[in-house]
Amino acid sequence: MSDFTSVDTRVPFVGRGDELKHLFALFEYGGALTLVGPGGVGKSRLAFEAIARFERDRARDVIFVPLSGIGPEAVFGAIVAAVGAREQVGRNPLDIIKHEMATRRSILVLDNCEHVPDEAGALIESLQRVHNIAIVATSQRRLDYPDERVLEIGPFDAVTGAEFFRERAKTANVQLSAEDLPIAASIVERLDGLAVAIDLAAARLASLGVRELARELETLRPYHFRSSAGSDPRHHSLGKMIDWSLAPLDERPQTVFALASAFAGVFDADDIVALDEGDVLSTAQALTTLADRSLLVRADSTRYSMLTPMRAVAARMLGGRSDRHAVEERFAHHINTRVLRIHDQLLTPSPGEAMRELLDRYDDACAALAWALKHPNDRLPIVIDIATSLVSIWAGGGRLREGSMWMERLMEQASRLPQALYARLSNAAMRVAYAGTDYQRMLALGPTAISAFTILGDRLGLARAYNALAVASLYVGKTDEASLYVETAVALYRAIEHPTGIGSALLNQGNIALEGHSDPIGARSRYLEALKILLESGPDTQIGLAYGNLAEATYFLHDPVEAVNSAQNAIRYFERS
Amino acid sequence: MAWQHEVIGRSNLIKGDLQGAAQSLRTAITLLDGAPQPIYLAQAVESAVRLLLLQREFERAAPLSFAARRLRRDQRIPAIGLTRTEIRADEERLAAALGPDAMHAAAAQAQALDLGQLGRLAAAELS
Repeated sequence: MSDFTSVDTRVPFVGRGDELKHLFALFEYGGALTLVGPGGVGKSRLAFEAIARFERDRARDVIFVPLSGIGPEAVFGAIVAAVGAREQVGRNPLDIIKHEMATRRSILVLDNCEHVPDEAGALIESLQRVHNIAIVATSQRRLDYPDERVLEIGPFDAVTGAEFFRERAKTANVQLSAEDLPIAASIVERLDGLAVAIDLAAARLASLGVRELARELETLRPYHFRSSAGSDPRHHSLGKMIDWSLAPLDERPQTVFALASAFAGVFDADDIVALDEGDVLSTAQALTTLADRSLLVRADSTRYSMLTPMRAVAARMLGGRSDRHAVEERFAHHINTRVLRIHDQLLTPSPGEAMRELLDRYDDACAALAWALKHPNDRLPIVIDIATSLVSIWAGGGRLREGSMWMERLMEQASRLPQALYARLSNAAMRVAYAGTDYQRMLALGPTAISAFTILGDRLGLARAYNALAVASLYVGKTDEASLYVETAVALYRAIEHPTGIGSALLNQGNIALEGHSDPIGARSRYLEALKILLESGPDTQIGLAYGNLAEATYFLHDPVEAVNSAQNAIRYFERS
Repeated sequence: MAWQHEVIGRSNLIKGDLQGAAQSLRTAITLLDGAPQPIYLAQAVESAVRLLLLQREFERAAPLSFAARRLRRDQRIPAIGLTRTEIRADEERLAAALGPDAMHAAAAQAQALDLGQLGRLAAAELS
């Protein structure tokens, strides 16, 4: 079963028999259903439970996509990645998702769609009639796509709520007696039957006992109120419950709760400390306390996450702090440092773990970029490593549309940057354009990168820019320009004695000979030269590329035996890398 | 790796080992199914077309040939140099063998294809 990161699966599940039947039918026969209800009512938990019970008998591919921390522009990219595919140039991401989903019996869960209703609705509309796919969306409001089927998820009634309270009490090692049950029912009623609020109350049972707990909650009256026209009173209820849960705690847990709302995914004590320069030990203790009180969810022994309804309340608390601007800036600095550290690990022989970590940080990194773009003059330099590191996800991980969108927005502001940062960003933009086979964009970006690197006297940057321009020129049919660019790149790499760079540029020279001049003999000699250099110190991927290109040239020289040998060598190196 | 299995497939075609070629091309297409890289998919389909031509299976080859061309156009991956020469030679051979009406029908068939299914279609033709 998929990893339900934004669901607190530790919380017991009770009732919801009719809703489960609806979901089982959906899973059996396919289609789409939107679970609509207020934040904290238990929509995500219901979806999780239904899938867990259904899967006991039938193996289904479950794809869970939490959408709470991501913007509209990132929705399709996130879903494409979740189904294990990559975006492709010229192909609508909806088609990619449809294709991937159609080939397997899947259950797709889109969690917390309320802030991206148009994107979620468009996706569901295009998928809802595809055979064998079941889609569950959770949202605080309808998504309003044609033929939407909605299942309203209301709060617990008094009986079910009391049962939930009793089960939750057991997890806190508290057994309720028969006399306690009417009190439990009154607590549930006072909390509007909202699952997350009942969970918060039950988290304090061990220390207060059921009677004292009821008395404490009594002091919250008038509890259920409506402050502004049209607002959901349950939001106020939840806010009050959170205030009540936090009130007995020291200042540090209260601060940590507010700061935690900055993070879209999992976080640890170091992350929190980075936002207010607090003490690590007290922060770690505060995190434990908050998790014990159901205000945070434990992801593992050191990391935590926050449920969406909690985050909304915590974010309001953070927004009310006088130091919120400083916190935002520290957040950007911290994410930039963290992302850069992860990115450096991508260059090691085993980059898989680093890539997963980078993906874990992706939503936070995008939040930092968005923050920087609001005041680019001062803020872009803070997040420059994020912008250049995320290229690994955008170009390498196949999230091309998002990458192009971010790079376009960043490059619009890039002229305000110091030359060194401008040049780095231009190179990153060229890599994204290359992944998107947007060679004209590469050609447009190239001169700006070259002038910036020239001013800086950065010969490595220059060599890379010329090498990239050579590739773009070749693919738009400007073979002579490609040859000039790549010769410059080779010369620059040689001047700074950069063997991997020399190898890479020689491979490009070979490609220009083979594909631009239809000269397999010239190409073969370039590839052999590159191979010789790369075999001494190059990474396995580059050596694999050299063998692979050699196989191509040898094939065109009508030497199939040698071509197969080279191809097998290439495969061996690709496997090693 | 898919790229290199495709090169092995093409090389086997030169050697006249059609069975070995089909096997390598199927491997390439299977690898591409998990991580689609359009340029290598286009090349694998073009090599499958060449294999079908060698087997004189012109009607089966033609829709794949048009679909590969469509894939290259949609994904902005032009065939250049010697690759283009080989593809053109295959297309001319197909046109000569089938005539304009059958070629139009094959083009229409390719136009209606979901390119996301192209790898699977090509693999089916190779089995």
